[in-house]
Amino acid sequence: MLKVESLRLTKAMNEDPEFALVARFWSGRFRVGIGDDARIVQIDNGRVEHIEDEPTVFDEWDFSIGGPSDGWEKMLQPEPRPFYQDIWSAVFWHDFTIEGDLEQFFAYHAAVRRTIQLMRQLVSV
Amino acid sequence: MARFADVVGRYVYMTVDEVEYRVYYEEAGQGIPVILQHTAGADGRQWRHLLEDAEITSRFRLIAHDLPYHGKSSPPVGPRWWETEYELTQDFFMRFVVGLSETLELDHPVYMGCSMGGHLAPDLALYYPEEFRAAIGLEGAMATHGYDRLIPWFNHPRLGNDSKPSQMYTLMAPQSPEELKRETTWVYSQGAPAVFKGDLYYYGIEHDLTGTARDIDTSRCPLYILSGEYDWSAHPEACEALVKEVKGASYTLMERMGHFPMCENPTNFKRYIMPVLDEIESRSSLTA
Repeated sequence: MLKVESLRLTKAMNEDPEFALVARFWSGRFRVGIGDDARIVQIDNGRVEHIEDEPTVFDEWDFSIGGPSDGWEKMLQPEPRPFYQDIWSAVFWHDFTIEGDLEQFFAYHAAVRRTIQLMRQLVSV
Repeated sequence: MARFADVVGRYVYMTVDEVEYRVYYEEAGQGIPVILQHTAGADGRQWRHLLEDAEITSRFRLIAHDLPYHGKSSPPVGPRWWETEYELTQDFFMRFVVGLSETLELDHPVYMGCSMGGHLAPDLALYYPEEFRAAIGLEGAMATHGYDRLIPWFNHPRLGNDSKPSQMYTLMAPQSPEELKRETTWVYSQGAPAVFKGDLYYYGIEHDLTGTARDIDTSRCPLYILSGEYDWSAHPEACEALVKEVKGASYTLMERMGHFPMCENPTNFKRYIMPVLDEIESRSSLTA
């Protein structure tokens, strides 16, 4: 089971200088689907306000990224195999998905990409 | 004492379709001329590591230009280009490169390009085989279709200059040096907003050698295709598919490499490109 502690991820994102730059002006919510598990990350003006570990159908999101558990394990390796280097490449070549507000996703792809890099540093499998 | 790079930049005027372009290029070295074509939405800076590599410039005259509308090659004076959507066509692209060679009076240069420039290598080998002594396509594929719905997002009024470069970052290998991956994305952040999308018309829609690749005659223009294993766009399968159709073409898979070999990891790239350049030099000396 792949685990990224939400509190540690929140701290890492909010203390990361690159995330602070590329997430500027961002207020929104994105869902991260890991197999049957999901989180919702709430961003307010470029800072992570909260990560919801047990979202329900009543918790809205703007866009969602997701993939199977074993796919995330491959993506979060220090040197991932080809096309697991990012959610974007994994959507084209592996069983990953992006849904919802594509404009927000494209606008803040750099922040999402940085989030995955931070997850890579924090993950324990 | 100042430390200078052994690279000289200058402008040359050349005309294509009765339109005069003021074209910027940088060059270094002496020997067999090599025209270096940058990727979509970028410019000749991508080749700076090769231009300063004495092992290469002692034997090859490297010429890295900025295509019109890219880098320091500003839009031409005269046409009302701001009233027309920028779009790079295969015919213009080929004739521009051939015209540059003629303008600079190069003697059968080697052509080397990456991504859209890599796609152009087999197109030049097919349509202008007598003009080049060899064509090298980095990330040169049979075709790169399937991104039609994505392309408009690359010139969207509500998306800033972080979006496109960030996506370009994902085309590079995890093992490539971080500072060079960042430099590569930096160049992408500086292209005029419409240009990358317009270049992709050639790269993603018009270029397609399905059915014609087999007509490339490598005895007239040798063709070398190299592809990076982390390139999810012009991916290795698409590059290999091209080579399988072209009798005598050479294919090299570059491990731990992505879509921008010459600038994301020039050290790793050199391992793969030197045997190709050595072979071209040997062939040239045999026919001289």
